[in-house]
Amino acid sequence: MFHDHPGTADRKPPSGGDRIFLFVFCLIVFGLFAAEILRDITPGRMATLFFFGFYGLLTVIHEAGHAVVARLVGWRVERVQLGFGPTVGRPTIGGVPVELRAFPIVGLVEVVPDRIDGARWKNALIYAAGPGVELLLAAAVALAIGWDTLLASSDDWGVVVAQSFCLAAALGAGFNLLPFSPRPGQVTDGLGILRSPFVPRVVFEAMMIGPEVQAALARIEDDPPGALAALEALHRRFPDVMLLHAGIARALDALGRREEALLRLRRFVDETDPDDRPQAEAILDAFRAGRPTAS
Amino acid sequence: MSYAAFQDRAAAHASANERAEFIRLTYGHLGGAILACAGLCYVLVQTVGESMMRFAYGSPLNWLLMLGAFMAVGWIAEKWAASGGSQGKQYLGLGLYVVAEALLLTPMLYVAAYFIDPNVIPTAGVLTLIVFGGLTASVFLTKKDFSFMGRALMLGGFAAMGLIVVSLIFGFTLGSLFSAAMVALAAGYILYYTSNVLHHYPVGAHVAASLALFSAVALLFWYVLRLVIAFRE
Repeated sequence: MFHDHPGTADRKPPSGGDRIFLFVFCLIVFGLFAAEILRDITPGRMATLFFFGFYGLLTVIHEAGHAVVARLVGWRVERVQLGFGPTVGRPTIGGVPVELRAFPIVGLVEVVPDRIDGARWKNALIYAAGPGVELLLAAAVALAIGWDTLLASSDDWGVVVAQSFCLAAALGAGFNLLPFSPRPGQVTDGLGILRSPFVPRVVFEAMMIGPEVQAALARIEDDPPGALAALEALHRRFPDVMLLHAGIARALDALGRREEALLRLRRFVDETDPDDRPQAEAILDAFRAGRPTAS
Repeated sequence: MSYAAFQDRAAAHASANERAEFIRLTYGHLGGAILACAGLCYVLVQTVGESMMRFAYGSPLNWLLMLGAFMAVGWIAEKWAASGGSQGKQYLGLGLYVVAEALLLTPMLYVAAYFIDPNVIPTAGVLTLIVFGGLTASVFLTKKDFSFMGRALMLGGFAAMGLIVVSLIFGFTLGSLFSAAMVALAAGYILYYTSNVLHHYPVGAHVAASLALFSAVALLFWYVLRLVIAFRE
């Protein structure tokens, strides 16, 4: 769901000469690849072109799978990015801004939870939806043409097209389901699914109302009553969010009401579900130690 | 050390002495990796070369398995080498990559040595060193930053992997045009990594830098050897 390759991003914009060099380089490499494929027009060789075409199409379907399931479980889809490289379009689909890039082989979906309850399993389901929809489509094609036909060598163009589709889907989904972190801060769908049951509650909270809490916290120095009012308003909308308790305690502290802040945090710890209590206690401890927990 | 602090000491921002030492260490390690790989290949070809060749070329699935295992091991090795953690882990990464590369090269070296002509291997080796030397010299002399090639190389690598997998699954042979494309791609990687050594790798990351260069040199050698074999045939 959240896969992209920002680490491969070029460090600075290429100059005019760099662009010419890059164009010639790509012309040589991809021209030779194309010449190799086209030097003999057979269904097997053409499978390469079908494969790459389907891989791009399946990237779109994969990301759509994440986005649709996110909507189905009630989460908000903030943004979808399809591909990498230069942006070629910015349509809005179903109210979601979609960024179309030149090379659709990777994608990114940004989602925001609606509430904390069930956030972990919903997160796992959203992660699973991308590779899941690819595997479902491959299975549907396999059932339509028969497993024996799918796995047999064939010169029939229709069969080769179907085989190419299934190969692209299986490779795309299979790679995404491998549980590893390609780069720091990124996880594959497989690792995302496995990690979901253990994601700390505050992570979902930060996804949910992080920007609004940050905006309120930014006012604490200059306008503590305003910050407290904003945080209390958020607290009424999201009574279970731990980050808000930490933020309200900081605002109360800034207003010279530290005793009240500690009492509220103590009550909040006592009322928190036993599974989440260690995180609540950590917030209380951090407040006592003077560490800014809500930022 | 935080990443930001690490990055601040990038080769280009370090003192002239630090930078010279970093480059010397990087190319020293690269030389060591190449020699170790060559020695290991020699031993493997002499001992288990035939059985490895039979396994690798026995069926497309076996070769796919070997490529998949190599990619997985290579990824782990690169992570260890670039971890910035203990030196032992970094060297373990480089060593693991050298062993994996030697295992991957052995079947083709066996075929080249016993079925084609043993001379094709030194010919390919010398040609690889000439191309590598030329590209390295061009980067060092011009001081050009080739980091803008990152995305093009990633796309080229993706296309190459796709072509290899499809050719194995659909049963067609990739010929000299593909090998030539891969030589060009490997040359691109050498330019990219060499300029990264000059401008971007942090001082102290000589193990990771040498592993990156080694992977590009090995890729270049592989396809130069394929071209030499094709011309000899």
